[in-house]
Amino acid sequence: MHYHAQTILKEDEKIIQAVLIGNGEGYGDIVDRYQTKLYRVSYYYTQNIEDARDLVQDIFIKAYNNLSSFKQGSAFSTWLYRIAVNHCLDWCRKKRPQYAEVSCLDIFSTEEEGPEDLYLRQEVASEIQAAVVNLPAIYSTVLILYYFEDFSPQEIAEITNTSKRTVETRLFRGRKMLRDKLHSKSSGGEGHDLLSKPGQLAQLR
Amino acid sequence: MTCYRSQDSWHSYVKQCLSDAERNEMASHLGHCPECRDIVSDIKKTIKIISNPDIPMPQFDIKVNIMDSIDKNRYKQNLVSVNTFRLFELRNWGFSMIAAGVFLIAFNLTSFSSIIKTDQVTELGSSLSKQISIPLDKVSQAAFSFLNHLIPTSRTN
Ligand SMILES: [Zn+2]
Repeated sequence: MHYHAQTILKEDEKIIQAVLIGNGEGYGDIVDRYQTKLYRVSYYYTQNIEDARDLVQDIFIKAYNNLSSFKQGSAFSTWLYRIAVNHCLDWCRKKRPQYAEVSCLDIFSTEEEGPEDLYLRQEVASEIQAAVVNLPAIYSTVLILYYFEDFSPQEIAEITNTSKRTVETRLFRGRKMLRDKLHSKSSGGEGHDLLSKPGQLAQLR
Repeated sequence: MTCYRSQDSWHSYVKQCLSDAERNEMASHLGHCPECRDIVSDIKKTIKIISNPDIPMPQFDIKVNIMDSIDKNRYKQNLVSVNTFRLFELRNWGFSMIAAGVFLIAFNLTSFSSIIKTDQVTELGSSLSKQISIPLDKVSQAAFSFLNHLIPTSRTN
């Protein structure tokens, strides 16, 4: 694992060095290596394919134009994710439409595994994504990176330019806020506690 | 409720990215603290439910658009500046060689002219010595002024 991370670091660095002395075509290798990852991050923030695509393109172009400010020897992926997250947050501040309220989640109040299971799971996923991205930005970002994309608190700290301690605290609070949000949405404000019932979302408690 | 360690690095603990010492110490705390155990178990459950969610992937090529949009020659200047520097170095070396050559000629001519001057005063006529010595002085002066052109700093001394 550690070895793998080192290899990626070295390969990235090699490509970047070549680009910085004029091999512009070499940047295509960087795009190949990171486009899916950055698309995923962008999608969590935008919740639609077209905006996510536009964001990814902007992020890669921005990174290319600022490549000379990347400090050789540090992790390129951290630098790239930092640009990506900041760009997504900018986009959210300026353009993101207010999402419709998370709709009925009572479909998860049952434990039965029906044929629609996969569909339901995807529905759950998109409901949760919408709930996450509608949290205040400092919480949504750490939750996205930790839960959706499997980053460690240390890596998140480097990407978001903060301390590991702060990331841990935000993860605690963010998860609580997410749980409360899903809870209140599913209860519909009628004191009906769906999350106390068995089901996937109930496990979030 | 509220163990003083409830806000500890449990998220790092779950992702197994702590030092061995830290990790062992936290594991032993979990052994006797049900509250922190619940926290760890909640984090693990949440990971299980919401990690790596399915999202719709684009059917279009992102890479082509990016590669069309960037200026691929943007960093060519870096290469050019490296080459220009080398060329500049080479030119300086060339100038140094020429300067050294001219300096040697100037030095030789000056000493040659003074030898002729002293020897010729007695054996040849003074007019002849002037005829020979003046052009030689001029040549050496020209050589020196050429040197001064090449090495501007030496002119101030
Ligand atoms: Zn405890």
